[in-house]
Amino acid sequence: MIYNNLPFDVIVCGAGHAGVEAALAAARMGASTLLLTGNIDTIAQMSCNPAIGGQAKGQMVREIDALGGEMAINTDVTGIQFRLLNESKGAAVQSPRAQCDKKAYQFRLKHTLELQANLRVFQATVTELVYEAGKVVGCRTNLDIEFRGQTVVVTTGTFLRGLMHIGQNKNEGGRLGDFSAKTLSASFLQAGIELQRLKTGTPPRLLGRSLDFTRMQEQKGDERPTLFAFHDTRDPQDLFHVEQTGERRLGWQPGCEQVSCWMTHTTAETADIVRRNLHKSAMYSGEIEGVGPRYCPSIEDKFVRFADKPRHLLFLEPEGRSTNEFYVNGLSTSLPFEVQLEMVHSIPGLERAELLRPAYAVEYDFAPPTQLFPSLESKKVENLFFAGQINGTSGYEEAAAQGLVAGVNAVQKARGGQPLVMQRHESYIGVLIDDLVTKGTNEPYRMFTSRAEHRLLFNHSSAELRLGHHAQEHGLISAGRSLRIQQKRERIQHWLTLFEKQRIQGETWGEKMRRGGVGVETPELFNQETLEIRQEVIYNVVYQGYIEREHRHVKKLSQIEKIRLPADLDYFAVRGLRRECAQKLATFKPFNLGQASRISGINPSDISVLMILMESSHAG
Amino acid sequence: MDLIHARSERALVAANRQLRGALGRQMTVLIDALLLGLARVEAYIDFPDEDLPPEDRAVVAAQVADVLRGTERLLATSHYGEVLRHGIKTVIIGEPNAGKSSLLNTLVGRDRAIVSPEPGTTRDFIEEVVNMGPHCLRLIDTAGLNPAPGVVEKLGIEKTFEIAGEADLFVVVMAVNSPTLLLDNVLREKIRPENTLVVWNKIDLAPAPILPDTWKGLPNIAVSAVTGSGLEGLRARIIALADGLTPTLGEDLVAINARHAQSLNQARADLAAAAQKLAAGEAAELLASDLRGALAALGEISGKVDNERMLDALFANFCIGK
Repeated sequence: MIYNNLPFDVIVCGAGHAGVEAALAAARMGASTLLLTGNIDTIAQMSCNPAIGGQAKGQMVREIDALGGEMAINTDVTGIQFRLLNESKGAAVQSPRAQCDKKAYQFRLKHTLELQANLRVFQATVTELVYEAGKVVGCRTNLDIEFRGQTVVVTTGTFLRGLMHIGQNKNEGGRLGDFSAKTLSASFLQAGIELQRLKTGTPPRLLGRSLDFTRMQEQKGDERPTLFAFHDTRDPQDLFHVEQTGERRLGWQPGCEQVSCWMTHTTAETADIVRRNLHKSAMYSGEIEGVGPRYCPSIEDKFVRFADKPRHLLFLEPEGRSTNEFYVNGLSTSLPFEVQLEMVHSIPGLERAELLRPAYAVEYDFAPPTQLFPSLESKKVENLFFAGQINGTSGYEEAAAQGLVAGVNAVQKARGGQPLVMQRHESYIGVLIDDLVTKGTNEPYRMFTSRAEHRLLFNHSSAELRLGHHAQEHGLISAGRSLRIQQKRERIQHWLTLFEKQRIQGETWGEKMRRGGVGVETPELFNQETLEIRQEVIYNVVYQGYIEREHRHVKKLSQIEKIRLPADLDYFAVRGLRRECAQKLATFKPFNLGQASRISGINPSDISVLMILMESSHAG
Repeated sequence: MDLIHARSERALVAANRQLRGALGRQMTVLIDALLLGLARVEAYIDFPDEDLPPEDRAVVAAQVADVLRGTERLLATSHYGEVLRHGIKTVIIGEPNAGKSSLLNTLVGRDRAIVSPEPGTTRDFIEEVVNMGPHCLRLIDTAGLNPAPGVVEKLGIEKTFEIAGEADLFVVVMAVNSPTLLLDNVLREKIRPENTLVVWNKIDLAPAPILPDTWKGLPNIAVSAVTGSGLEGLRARIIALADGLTPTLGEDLVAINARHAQSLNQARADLAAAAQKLAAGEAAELLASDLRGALAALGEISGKVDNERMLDALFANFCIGK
C-alpha cells in the first residue's frame, strides 16, 4: 500500500547518528518529516565505543550544537566521564571527549524524536527507493508499505550489504545481532550510483565483574567537566525537556556523576598468540575485500606493522551505569573466537575475563561521495541525499554532522531554497563535506584537526560565533538563542576592543596578556563575565597574530570560492583548458572555482583559464 | 618561456634539465622531509591519547634545519638562473679615454659605442649581449671614472659605481700611459681575482707597466684595441673567468625562476619562524602552522601537497589506534 498521498517533505531512512540529526533538523525547520528505522530500539546506537568527541570530533560536536543539533546536549546529559584532551596545548586544539551511558544515550534521543513536532518515526526496513523521471519520490519497505516524500535522506551506516567476520565465520548484518539491508544496494546501482566496499572493526565486550581492576591503572574524568552544548545561550528547557532519570533530581547537572576508565596493555604472550594465529584472521586470510581505517587498526595489524613495539595500550571503557559491560578500546580484531579468548586472557587484569560479545569486523557498501554535490544531494538522482557511513566516513560525530546538513538541505530542496554549504574556513563540518565531495576517500574517513588548514580559527568554544548566522538563517535555533549569541558576540567584541585600547602601566591589556600568556591578570569587571566569554576573549587576544594571519589567508583564498561555476558549463568548449582537465571538470561538476582547484590533477593554470572565462562572462 | 629566452648553450641545457625534473626531484626531497617533520608534530596534536613515544622536538628541529638548508641552497641558484637567462653581468670600468668603448666594440664585433679621442664620451650606459664560448655575457660600458670630474660627469660616475655594485664580472681597463684608477670602497671590496680582469690597453703606445700594489694578484692582459694585438687572449681570459663563476652543470643543478624564488623565500621565512619556535619550545599548533605554511609555499612550485600525504607519513611512522 501507499501510506501517504501527500508526500512528506523529507523521508529519512535510518536512525543512527546521521539519521536522527537529519530528521530533527528537518522537523525543527518545520518540514513534515518521516524517520524510518529497521529497529526502533536501536535508535542512535553506539555500535563501537561508547564515547563522543575527542580530537577534532569534539569541536565538530560543538559545531553541531551551534547548528541546533542534538548530539552535544544528548552527550552532556548521558555522559558518565568527561575529559578535555590537549589541555596543555592551545585552545584551538583542545577537544572535549565524553564516555556515555550507551543505553541512556539512545533512550534520550528516542524520546526526543518522539516528542518532536512535525516528525513521525516508524519501524520498517527500506528495501528500495522509488524513482520517477530521474528523481526519487519515496521508498518501499519490507512491510510492503510505500512512503512518498519530496526528498529522501539515506543513512544506511554499515547495514548496506553488511557482512560480519569473526575468523572464518561470516554473518550477514550491519551489527552483531542486527539485520543487513540486502536489496537497497540494487536501487542505487539501478540509478547509476557507484558502490564500493569498506571495512571496520570492533573489539570484544567484557563482563566487568570478571575483571581484576587492581591490575590496571585508573583514568578519571576531569573534575570540572567541559560540556559540549552551549548551555550559556541555549534555551533552558532544552536540557530538561525530556523526562529522564536523573535529569530532574535536585542538584543534578551534566557531568556531576562520573565513572572511571581503566588502562592495561597487551603482553609478549598476546603478541605471540596473535602472530601464531595470523592466518586465521579474516583480515589476513583474504576473506575481507573492503579497506579498513589506518587510524583504527586491528590488533593483528598493530603487531604486524609495528613489530618492534613490545606492547599496546588498552582502555576499558564502561558501557553505562546500569550495565557491567566494558568495551576494550584498542583490541579490535577479526581473529576467531577461540583466539580472541586466549588473547584476552593474556592481558593483565583480564586473565579471567568473560566475553559478553566477541570482536568482529564488518564490511559494507558505501557510495563514493564524489558523486554528491556539496549539499550532499546526489548528482545522479535529484532529491536524494546521503549522510554518514554510506559516504565513506567513520565516527558518530562525522555522521551526525552530515546528517544535520543533509536534513537542512533536503528541506531547502523541497522548498526551493538555497542549500547550507559551509566553507573550509568556517568549520570542521565544512572541511569534512568539502573533502568528501571533492576528494572522496578510500578508507573510512575520520576528521583530524590537521585536515583543516585554518584550524587555529576552530577552537571549540567559538563554534557558535562561527556558525550562529547559518543556524539563524535556516531556522535551526530559537529567536531567543540567536539573541543571546548576538549579545555574547557583542560582549566579546567589547572586551577585545577595550583590551587593545586601554593602557595599563604603559602598555595595552592586550600587549600585557600576550606577554604574560593565558594566566595573566585581567580587569575585575572582565573577571565577572561568563567563562565562555572570558575564554573566547583570552584566546583571541593571546593568539591575535596567528588568528590575524589565518584571516589573511582566508581572505586571499575566498576570492576563488566566490566564483560560481554553472552546472551546465561546457568545459570542452573552454579555450585553453587541457582536455583531461575538461574531462575531469565535466564529470565532477564543481560548485565553484575553489572546489575545482581542490580536485586532484587540476593545475593552477587551469584555474586561471576558468577565472578569466568567468570574469569575462560576468563582464559581458 | 625560459626556453625561448635561453641565450646560450649552457642556458639551454639548464632549462632542459629543469624541465626534465631536476627541480622536481629536489622539491620532492624537501617536501618529503618536511612532511616527516610535520607528521612528528601533528601526531602529538591529533593523537594525544595514544601510546606514542615521548615527543622528541630535537628530531623535528634537525629535520626543519635540513629543509631550511635545502631551501636556501635552491634559493642560491636563483642568481645562477638569472645569469643563465640574462647573461653574466659584466661591467667595463676605467678612466675616461682608457678605451672602454673601443674594447666593447671589439668584443661585440661591430661599432656599438661611439668612440672618440675626446675623453668622457660615454655618458649613457651601453649594454650588449654577446656569446663567448659557452657563456652569455651582458657587457655594460660605463662612464669613465674621471679623478677630477665636472658636475655632469659626477652623476655619470655615481651611476657607474651603482651598476658596478651589482655586476658579476669586472673588466678594468687602463691605458698603459695612464695607469691609475680611483674606485669607491664598495667596488674595491668586490673586485677579486676570481671576477676581475685588468686590461692594459694601448700597448701600441707603450709597454705594459707593472701592476701597482693595490691591484696585486689580479689577472691582467695587455692588448691594443687599435691593432687587435692580444684580443684573442682577452676572450680566452674572460671565458676562463666566466667558467669559474658558473658551476659545472651536474645532474642535480637547477636554475630557479623568479616565481620559484618568491615561493622559496616564503618557505624560508616560515621555516625560520618554525626553527625559532622549536628553540623557544612554543606550542605545537603554532609550530605546525609555520610548517604548514612552508609546505604550502613549496607546493606552489611542485603542485599542491595534499594533507593526505602528511597523514601517510604519520601513520607510517606512528602506531595510531587504540
